[in-house]
Amino acid sequence: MSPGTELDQFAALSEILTGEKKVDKTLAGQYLGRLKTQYATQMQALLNTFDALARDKYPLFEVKRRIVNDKTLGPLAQQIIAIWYTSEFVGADGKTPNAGTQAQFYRGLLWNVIKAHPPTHSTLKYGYWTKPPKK
Amino acid sequence: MSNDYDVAVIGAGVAGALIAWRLAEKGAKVVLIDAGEKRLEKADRRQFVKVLAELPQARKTPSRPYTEVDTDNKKFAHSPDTEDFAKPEPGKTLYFQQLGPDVFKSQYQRLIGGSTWAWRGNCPRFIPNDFKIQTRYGRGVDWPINYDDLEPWYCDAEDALGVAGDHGEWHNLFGAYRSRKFPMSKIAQAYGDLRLKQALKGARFDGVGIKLLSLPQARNSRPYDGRPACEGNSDCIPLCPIQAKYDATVHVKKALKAKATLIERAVVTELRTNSAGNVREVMFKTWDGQQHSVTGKIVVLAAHAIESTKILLMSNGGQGIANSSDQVGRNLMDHLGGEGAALMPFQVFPFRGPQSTSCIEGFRDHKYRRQFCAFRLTIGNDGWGRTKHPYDTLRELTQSGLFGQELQKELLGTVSRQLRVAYSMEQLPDPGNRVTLSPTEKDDLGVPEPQLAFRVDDYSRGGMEYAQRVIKHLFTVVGAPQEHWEFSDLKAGAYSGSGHIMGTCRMGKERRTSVVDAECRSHDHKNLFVAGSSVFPTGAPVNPTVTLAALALRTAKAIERQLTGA
Repeated sequence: MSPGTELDQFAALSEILTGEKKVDKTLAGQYLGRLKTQYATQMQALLNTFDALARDKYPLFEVKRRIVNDKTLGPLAQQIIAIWYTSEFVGADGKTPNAGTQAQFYRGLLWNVIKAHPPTHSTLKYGYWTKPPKK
Repeated sequence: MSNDYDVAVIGAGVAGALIAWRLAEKGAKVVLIDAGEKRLEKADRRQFVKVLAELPQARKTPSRPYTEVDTDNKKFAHSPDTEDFAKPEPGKTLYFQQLGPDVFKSQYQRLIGGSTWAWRGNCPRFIPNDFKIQTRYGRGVDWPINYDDLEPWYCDAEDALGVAGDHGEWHNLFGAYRSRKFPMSKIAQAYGDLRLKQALKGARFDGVGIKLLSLPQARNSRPYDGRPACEGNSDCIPLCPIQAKYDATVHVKKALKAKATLIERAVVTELRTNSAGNVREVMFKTWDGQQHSVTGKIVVLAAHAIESTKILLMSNGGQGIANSSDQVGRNLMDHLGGEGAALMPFQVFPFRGPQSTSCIEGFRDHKYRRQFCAFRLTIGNDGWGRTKHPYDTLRELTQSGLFGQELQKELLGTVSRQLRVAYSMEQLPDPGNRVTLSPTEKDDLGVPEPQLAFRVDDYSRGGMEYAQRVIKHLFTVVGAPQEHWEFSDLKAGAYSGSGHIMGTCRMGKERRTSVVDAECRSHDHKNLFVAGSSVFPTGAPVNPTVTLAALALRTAKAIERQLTGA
């Protein structure tokens, strides 16, 4: 798998796992790099598996069956979701958190999904919190 | 430059900064000395924000933005943090030496600006009965002053700190009249609080109305005192990124503008008295290990309850001063707390706006105060708070096999309905709850570390049980499904600290039973004053800052009179 293909595959898999229509490629490259420092071998296995099923007629179903529900690949899939949602993931020892940069923290998907903003990073004005978020 | 001052203030937190500011503006020659660093610039705040953002969530504790920054303050002016409440790992020495039987769980910041860097800004006043619980309920001790004595100073403190509040809601609450309006209108209440308020309309428990009030806060609801209005960054603790929330650097800067001198990275090691029994010399070590001293006609000790105790006990070569009553270090108090968390039947959308904007005050002075403690309830605007962070909810959902848009839907559906109600308890003074000097453990400057004996009594525990019953009733009234309730486990003795460290140098009329008089002057040394929540004889169930600020301003006036011989 060429480096470009690897990044493309990682981004495509990330979109399925996170539920985002399009993930940022630059960020994808950063996250792939960070995850590989802890999960190099597992990442290759995961992307190989994804490569094999990406053109499947029902990729969502296959991602669930062969990656998310897979005992070996599932935990890494969870870490891919974690890094996109929070900018941090748990290292290969199963306990050490690996935090991202400030810029990555501010792009954590979780805050958008719950219709809030990352702590310390409001872009709104006084009193916005009295009304429900826009749909 | 001469090292002789009119007033030497030790500790640049809110009490010390207010006193330094007031007296410097009156023309006194003031020096303000602090163990921590001077971080007063916008760039410093930006750096703290960056440090915080780049910490893993599990390590985003109140002290960490300040201790993880590239500095030696952890070494030379250690700020206790959550790790000091945990069992030490083998070979690790914590700053607090905990003697038990229970664990003291609060912390403070040793940094110019002090613990106001990492406070939530809540500013409810005491009520009249809080000053006389011995007379009214046969518990604790009475204060040597009453609400009337402090009321004008509360007004001044609210103006100085910039407290936003609703006069109509708080005037005459349990008799706590207000002779002046808040300087700003209340902080707008969170959407979820407004929904909750509506759902609780008419609700009562044990004859007491469960009514949501807006919370007075030292947070700007409009531009005030050169600082901006709150933008709802949802991060009051550990850090407001734009200083819409008051912190004591405001008055440190004002003191400097009024020509006060600031000495940073200066850990006071002892006070020395002269033959007349006055405190003359303040001895301190700078972080390079060098010994220095200054003199003050008046010395003000405002280093917070634990560090102020250490300084008094270390003074006069370790003999201790101001302690003829043997009360220095005793009656250490906190507001013990916990929370109930539930999924609301409606969306509250947390993490938008300040971390808390509403409270329930009906149990501040309940009919059982002889049996168990009074308490307050606050409504969190931060999901399940200490119970469960959204990252934990995310992890649970992904571990259950969710991903993609299903995950997004479930995450929103869960977190947007998470709400917590926190309780905060009055703790009685207990002479056995005590700060002493560790006989064995010293910090990097050779200064003894604090040793804490602490016991949680049945008066506090009884209040916690009752508070949980109130919260369960609240959840029932609003229709929160019981299978999604989470409560601090009282059977396991669970409680948290509030960072409200009080007692240790209590004020009183009798020199036999107290450390300072009603003006916070040492009974033993007429030119020594103690400022801060360390002088509180009892702590009520409310956040201490506006009360200690009011006392500090009152003490500044007493010092001014003493300096001028008026």
